[in-house]
Amino acid sequence: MMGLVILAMLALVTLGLLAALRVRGGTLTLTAAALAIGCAGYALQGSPGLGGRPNRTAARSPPVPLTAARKAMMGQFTAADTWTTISESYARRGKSEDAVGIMRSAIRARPGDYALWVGLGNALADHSRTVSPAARFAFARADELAPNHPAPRFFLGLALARSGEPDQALALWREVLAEAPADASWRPFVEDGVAALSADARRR
Amino acid sequence: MIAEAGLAGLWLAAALAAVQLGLALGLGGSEGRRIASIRAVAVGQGALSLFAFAALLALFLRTDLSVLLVAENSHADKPWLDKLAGTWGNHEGSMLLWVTVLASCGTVVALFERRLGERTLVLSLAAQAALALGFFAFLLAASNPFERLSPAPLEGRGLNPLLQDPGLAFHPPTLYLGYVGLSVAFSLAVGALVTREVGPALARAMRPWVVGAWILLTLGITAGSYRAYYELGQGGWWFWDPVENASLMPWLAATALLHSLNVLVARGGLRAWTMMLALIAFSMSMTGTFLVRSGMLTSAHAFAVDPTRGGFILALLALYIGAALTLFALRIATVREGAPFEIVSREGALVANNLLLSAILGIVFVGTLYPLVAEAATGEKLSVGPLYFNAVAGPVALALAALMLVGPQLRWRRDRVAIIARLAPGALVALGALVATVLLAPSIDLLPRLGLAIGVGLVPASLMPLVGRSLRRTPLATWGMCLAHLGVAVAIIGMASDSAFTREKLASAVPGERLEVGPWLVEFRDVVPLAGPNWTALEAELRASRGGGVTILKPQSRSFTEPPTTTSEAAIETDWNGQLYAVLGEQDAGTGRWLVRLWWKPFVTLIWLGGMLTALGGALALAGRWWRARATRRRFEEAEW
Repeated sequence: MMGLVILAMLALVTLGLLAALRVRGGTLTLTAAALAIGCAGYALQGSPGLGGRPNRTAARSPPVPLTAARKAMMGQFTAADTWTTISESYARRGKSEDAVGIMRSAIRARPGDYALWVGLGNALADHSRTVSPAARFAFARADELAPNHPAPRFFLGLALARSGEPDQALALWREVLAEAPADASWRPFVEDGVAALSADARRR
Repeated sequence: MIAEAGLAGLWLAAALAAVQLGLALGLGGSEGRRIASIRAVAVGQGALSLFAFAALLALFLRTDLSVLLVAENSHADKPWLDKLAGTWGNHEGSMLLWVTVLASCGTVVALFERRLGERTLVLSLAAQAALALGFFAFLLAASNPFERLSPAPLEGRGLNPLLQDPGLAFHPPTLYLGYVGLSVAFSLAVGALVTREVGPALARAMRPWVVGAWILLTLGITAGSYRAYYELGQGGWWFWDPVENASLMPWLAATALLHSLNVLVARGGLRAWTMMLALIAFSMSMTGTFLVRSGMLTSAHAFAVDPTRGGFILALLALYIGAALTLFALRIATVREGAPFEIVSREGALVANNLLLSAILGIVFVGTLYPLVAEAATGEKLSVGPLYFNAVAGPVALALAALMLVGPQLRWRRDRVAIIARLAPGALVALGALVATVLLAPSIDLLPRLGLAIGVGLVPASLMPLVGRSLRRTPLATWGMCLAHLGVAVAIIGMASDSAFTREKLASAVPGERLEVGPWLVEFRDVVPLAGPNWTALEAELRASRGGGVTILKPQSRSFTEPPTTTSEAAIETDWNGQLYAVLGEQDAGTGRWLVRLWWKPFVTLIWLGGMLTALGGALALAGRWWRARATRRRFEEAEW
């Protein structure tokens, strides 16, 4: 009922202001009557008991932990791994724009490193919460740099799955799985992904 | 609770508007204290309106999703300036801004206007209160900006990305101040028509409002034109979009009005015509509001798609304009005639200026409303575009510009002696420019050729009123007039030059390819992805060279998620003699080639420079008159002591 209290205070302050400006007698009575009608209008239309709900920053779901799959596919203790780890730490703290900036800086220094382009694609997809043309471009550039490598297609598939395109993701992952050596360390990640999306497709 | 406080403030402000109207019409209050009471109530109404608008600003800055308007038009991830601008980047918020400015203008008139007779002032304040009351009713009944949502959504839907631009923070409020500033001219005209006190005193009271509104409209239209130029990525600066026309129409009427007001102040003439223009100018503002808010137009600016709202505004429009024109018809025969003048005189030129401006206004009005009327009558969708407007309004606008070569050189009442000497510089320069364009650029069209000639001729002609004067003693208002006319000349040169000399290149290119446009050689180097606060983008790197100079342009194709939209962010390189304008389009999935559009636009910046000079001229004139009035008042007070 806080709204009614605010209304009453506003009406009283207004009347006080008018009295201070030397509105007197019948005019003040007329004004009070009009303000009372205004109060009635508010009472009919307002929601005096409803509180506000300020939303200062959008609630971001934390990014999917990609580290294990990334290291299995693209190796660790490399320059790309270092940059991507820093970028992911920013993304985890909700600073997804900075995470993209870090990957762009790394790419300016090593433009031919496909792993950095995969990291940029992941950072862009996380920032926009969809596979935007910019993210798709980054994955495509990675694929151009390492045409037969599974990582660009796998992570593009992951981004597609996260942004509500499971069928496209499943098609990509099946393709990757078909080409995967039986003893590849990253093969279980792809198998798990295909199984999960296939089950999801059956439910749908 | 902020939303509830805002709504409460809005209801109480509406109540005070009704009280102000009632008091001004003599319903209650003692006769001797009426004006004091009306002033106090007007102050209360303005304060409560500002309070309601401040509440809406706070709701947008906090992204309070329990408010429907915020949930539909904002998002927590937006930069704060876009959140702020989002307050008026929608139907309800912009209408609240409209009514807040209306109420605030009424407050300023009530507090500071001392030149008019009390009865005229009281009736003017009645008219202002009636306008405010109608728009308060519209807000509360059909467009409540504080409508609540329960439960509140987790996230908002975001703002149209085309409107997510720093320009939105300044362009609409400037235009609104201009539109609604004209309401004071309307109300003063209504008051004066009732009391029949149409004369120089009324014109002096009206002039600062009209000039102020005109300055803001000029700035708003100039800013809007530049915003459309860089934001839409089409290389155009005026599209004859109905919403652009909705801002142009009040500006044309206000331009005519401020010129005719000068005749009324200086010579007591053009009384009926000035009153008609005062009514028409604000009527055009309301018509523009109707066009934008009715949902009849499809545009980035057209927010409401609700026939109830359109019907409500149409009813208000019919009521206010109909009543004002009826009053004009009933009263104008009894308004005293002004002083006579000859055709070859400053008054004669100003009458011609008014006729030509009114003709352009009529052309734009018909072109804007005809498709709507035709669709309503026949169901057939029509489009009236630049072909009509340029072909019909262009020659009349050029005739008006040619008149500017002559008008400012003429004296009041009559002018026969030595006109030729004063006209010669402008006319000779215009003729020289015409010959030069024929020799140097024989292939350009007639309209831009004449525009260039007249625009160049107007430069010396605009400054001629300063020749032979002591520049230190020349009134600031005269400087203002010269500067405003010079601004028009500069803008005409820019428009004509853009129309005559623009070069365009549309190419499908891959990185490494080179393109030529005008004097520039542009190398398409690469495309890189990047991210902004609430968008991701693909950005091209273009290396442009001309002579020894090299510059890098970075046009972007941006993708917004909330709501999902793609926009083109043009890259613009400004040089002393024009702009190189680049847009990145989509990539062809098959060939991998990118669509790249390039324009070389010689002297295009003069269009906006001219607009700013024109507004600055208006501001100088306003300041000069204010300064002079203050000095006169002081001298008068000292003489009384």
